[in-house]
Parts: sequence; structure tokens; C-alpha cells
Amino acid sequence: MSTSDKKGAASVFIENFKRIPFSFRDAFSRHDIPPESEREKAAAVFSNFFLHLHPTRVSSHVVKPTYTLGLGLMCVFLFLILGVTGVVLMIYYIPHVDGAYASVKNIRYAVTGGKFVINVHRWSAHGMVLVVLLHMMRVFYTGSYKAPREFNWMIGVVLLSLTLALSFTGYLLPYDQLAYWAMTIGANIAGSLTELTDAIGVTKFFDPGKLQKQLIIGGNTIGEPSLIRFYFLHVIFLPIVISIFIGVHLWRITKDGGLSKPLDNKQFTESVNPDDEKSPNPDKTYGLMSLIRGNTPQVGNYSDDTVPTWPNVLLAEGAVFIFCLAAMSLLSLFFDAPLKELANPSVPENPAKAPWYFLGLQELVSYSAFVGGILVPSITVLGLMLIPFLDRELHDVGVWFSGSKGISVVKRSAAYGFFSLVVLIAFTIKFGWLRSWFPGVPQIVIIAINPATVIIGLFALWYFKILKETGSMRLASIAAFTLFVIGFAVLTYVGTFLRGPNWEFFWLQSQWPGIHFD
Amino acid sequence: MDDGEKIDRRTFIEKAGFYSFWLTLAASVAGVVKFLMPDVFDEPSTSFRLGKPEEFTKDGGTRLEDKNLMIFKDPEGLYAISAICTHLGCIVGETPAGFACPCHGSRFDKQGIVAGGPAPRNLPWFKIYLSPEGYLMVDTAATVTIGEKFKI
Ligand code: FES
Repeated sequence: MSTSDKKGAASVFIENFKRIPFSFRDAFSRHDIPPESEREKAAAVFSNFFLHLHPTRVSSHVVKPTYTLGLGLMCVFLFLILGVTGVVLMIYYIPHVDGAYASVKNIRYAVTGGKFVINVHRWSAHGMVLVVLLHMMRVFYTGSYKAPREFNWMIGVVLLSLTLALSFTGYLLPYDQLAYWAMTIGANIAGSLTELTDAIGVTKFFDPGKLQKQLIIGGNTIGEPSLIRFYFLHVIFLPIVISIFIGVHLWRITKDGGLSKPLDNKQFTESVNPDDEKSPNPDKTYGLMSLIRGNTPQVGNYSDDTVPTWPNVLLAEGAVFIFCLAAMSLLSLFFDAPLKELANPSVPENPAKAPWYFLGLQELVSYSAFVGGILVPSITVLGLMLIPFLDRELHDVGVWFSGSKGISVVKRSAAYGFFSLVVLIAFTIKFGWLRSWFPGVPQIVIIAINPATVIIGLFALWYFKILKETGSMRLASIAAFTLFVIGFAVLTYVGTFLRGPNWEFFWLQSQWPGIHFD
Repeated sequence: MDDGEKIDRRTFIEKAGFYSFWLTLAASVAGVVKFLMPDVFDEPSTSFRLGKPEEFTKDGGTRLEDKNLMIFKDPEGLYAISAICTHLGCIVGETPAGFACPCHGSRFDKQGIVAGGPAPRNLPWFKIYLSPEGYLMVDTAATVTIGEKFKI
């Protein structure tokens, strides 16, 4: 080699070295950053692992904040925040009955930023439950569960249950008073099937309640085996399961044609290509990616009401993410996550109350453990799952409340639900129930007739009344769902604000006897 | 097969494979459930000492906090009532009328008989007996009928 060649090699090295940031960027991304042309914008989304869950173009309806309210995104982002803060907390948390409480206190008081992380984790969990519920309401009231989205609605119901399970197992871990008594009550609710088997007299031969309880807590009483089981559920099992379901949920949204929207635009129902029926491979479409509409590549045929995902959707997502992060951070700066006294197996708090999202259930459980803790939740989950299979009417997808008729059904159902519940609960509080009148009444009668079963009966009556009156499954479903929402709200209110020591009725917390608050 | 027809080898292998798959799956699930259920629970003994009979001279009640048990004595004898609510396992507190549960409002009278609320059963009375060494013992795994007191 000659000297000049060597000199050339050196300058190539220097040249390339200087260009490293740019070549790295080019290697990282398959397009210009930021993408300029429509085609590049599509490629930016389509060729990126993290973004390719999105279609490259979406209907402008999708980015209208008043339609989705960003609720689904909030669920995802809160879940991500929970994942990150949760993993960080695992560094200090000790899943042992003798160390758990101290380790949580340690995080709170002896770790820099520990209190903040724990607060973010707890408030995001509360936030996620709330937002998941609101998201479900949004999806329901806009009719977005209808074909082809029925399956995704079912997955959504599963996700709701998993969210609640994650929250429950989460607040058990500090092993404080709340945790200990929630474990006890939760385990006994699982065991409350025995109430039914007892009532029909088969417990001696077959006791699924006891089996269930022992499986969950790894014994007959709460202790180390229970804590480690709930820890395992909270940090390994449930997160994996919910991640899979979230993945499927998001994937199905794309596969089912993106977010639901009103069928105002013919293009989306009618194929662009009149030969579709005869086309040799109708399964192979490019429509999914929204690169091209129809089955055959027809370039440049965008309708006016779609917008490119980059940047519109991504900006919206960024905004929602920042909103979630900011809201959780602010909450966590000003309000500390609750931590009660160390678990005390001989004295529960009085009253021993669950977090707000379970207080409606706690109110129901105070009529009958089996009915309130197992039967009503099962009927609710089953009913929610069945909604899209009973309501097959395909009009009004993407229309809030299906228009004015729906709005009037919502109003009437809300009023009916509210008044019937208030009257029923007031009656129960004033006069008691069967057990207070006839102490010897057999449990099977209590299981069959208690305020919780009466509520189900009243709600079913109303559902069929609306169905008969309107002849529309959609309107009947609106009635049933509204009753569910109102029922949840009223029972939660009663459990939260109107129940005091020994679960007695009080108008105000300040009237509670013998207990003073600072 | 059903009609005594012969099936060919391919079908047989297919079916055999298919059924062994499900069988393996079922066995694995059963194994996991069995794995989750310990063979031995590491739990404290159900019977324990109360003390010498001479110690119980005064009438009245005491609570054994760590056992969630209430011991009462009256002229007729000694009796032990469970403090664990039969509804969902909270610990009942004493009220003028008897016992009340802080969790969902079950009420029991002084004998532990359900007087209101969701509790499906009365508070159990546990067996009291004299050990060979002369100690009063309670067995929380054995119940006696309500009202049956142990004469000292
Ligand atoms: S545990 Fe006692 S009333 Fe529920």
C-alpha cells in the first residue's frame, strides 16, 4: 500500500467517526426523522416494532377527544406506570409476615423517593380501576361492543376482573390491618360456597368452598403461606396474564377495524373494488394496515376523513401519557398512600372497610356472603359478557347512547335504579331483614331472599319491561347496563359514607360513637 | 371403531396422539392443583391449656387474644365461645346485647346465637376438658352444644 492510500484510510475513519450519530440514526430508523411525505409517515408507523400496533392512517373520528376521552389509552399508560413502579418496589419489599410491614415502612421513610414511588403505585392502581370502569362505560354507551367486536368486549370484561384482582392482591402485601382482614374476608368469601353446600346438606361429602379457600391461602388461617401466594399472584402470575390479555385486546382493536365509529361514511362498508367477490384471494387484504383500502393495491385513494397516524395519533397518545404521569405525580406529591397499623389477628378495625371499589360489594356481602361475594359478581360478569351476544342490532355503532331514545332509557333506568335501591336499602336499615325477625330462619332462605337477590330481581324486571316496551335489545341492554352503573354507584356510596362501626348506618362520620379523627 | 369397523393405522395414531395430548394436559393440571395444596399445614395445635381449675374462682369473662376465644364462668360452670364471626372471619367485639362484628354487622346474643346480620351460623362453643395432668384444656376443633358448661 502506498502512503496516500493509508492517508485515505485515516480520513475515511475520521469521516465515518464524525458521521456516527447520523449513521446510527439511519440504522435505527428506516425513514427520515421526522418523516415528511405521506408515504414516509406511513412507513414510520408500519416499520417500527413499537408503533406497528397502529394502523398507518385512522379515521379523524378516532382522534376526536370527545369520542374516546382517551380512556383506553389511560388504562394502558397507568398499567405501564404500575409495572415500572412495581418493579422498583420489589427491590425493597420483603414478602414475609415478619418483614413485609417493616419493609414498606422502610420504603416510605428510609429510601430516597421511596414514598413517592409507593404513592404513585397506589394511586395509579386506584386510577386504573376507575379508568377501566369509565372506559367500559364509554365502550358500552357508544355501542362499540357490537360485531365484530364482541370477542374484544369479553376480553375487556376479563381485563376488568384482572384489574380488580391485581388491585386486591396489591393492597394485601403491606401486611397491615387492611391487608390482614382483606385476606381473611377474601379467603372466606372463596370459602363461602360452603354456605350453599351447608344449606343443601352436602358439605360432609363435598366441600369445594374449603378446598378453594385452602388453595388460595395455603392453609386454614392467614399466615406466611397466604402472603407468599398473594405476592406470587401480584408480581408474577397476574401481571403475565393481564399483559397477554392487554396484548390481545389491543391487537383485536386493529383487526376489528380500529376504534368504532358511526357508519356515516359508505366507503368503510362498501368495497372499493367491485370485483372483490371474484378476486382470487379475498383473505389477503391490505386494508388492515390502511396502506390501501380494498383488496387490491390502489394507491393514493385516501378519503378525506382519515388522518395519518404520524403525527396525529402519536401526539394524542403522548398528550394522554403526559396527563397520566402528571396527574399521578401531583396526587403522589400531595397525598400519601394509606398504610394502617401492623396486622393484628385478634382485633380488626371497626369498621373494617375495603378500598372504595369493593365497598359496594362489601355492602352486598353484608346481606349474605355467598350471594354478595360469589353469586352477584358471577351474574354481573356473565351478564356483561353476554351483552353483545344478546344485542345483535348493528345500527348506532359509535353513536353515544344510540341517540335520543337511548338517552331517555338511560334517564328512566337511572331513576328507577336509584329509587328502588334507596327504598330497599332504607327498608333494610330501618327494619332489618329476615334474620332479625325470625332468628332461626334457615340459611337457604336467606340465600334465596335477601336484599342482594331482590336487587337482581328488580333489575331483571326492569330489563324485560324495557325490552317489551321498545322491542329493542339495544335499548334493553342500555337499561340493564345503566342499572349496573347506578347499582355500583349507590352501593359504593352507602358502603363508603353511610356505614360506621359494626357496619351500622350513620349519616355522617362525625356521628360515629367513641371514635375520633384528627 | 364404534360399529366394529376397522380403522386404519393413520387414523389410529392420530386419535391416540390426540387423546394422549388431552390426557397429559389433564394430568398436568391435576398435578398443579395437587402441588398447590400442601400435604401438611403448618398450624398451631387446636387444643391448649387454660390453667388450673383453682384459678377460675371468680365469675365473669376473659378473652384469649391470641386464640380469638372468649372464656366465661358463671355459677353453672365454664364455657368457651369462639370470637371468630361465622360470616367471613372477623373478630367480634362485646356489646351490651352480646357480640357484634365490625366487618358486615353480624349480631349475636350473649350465648353466641345469631341475632341479626349476615352470619349463617351461631358462634361455636368449644369443648373444655380436664387433662391428665389436671389442667383445664380447650379444644377448638371440637364443639359442644350451646349451653353445655363445664362444671369445675
Ligand atoms: S365477618 Fe362478621 S359480619 Fe362479616
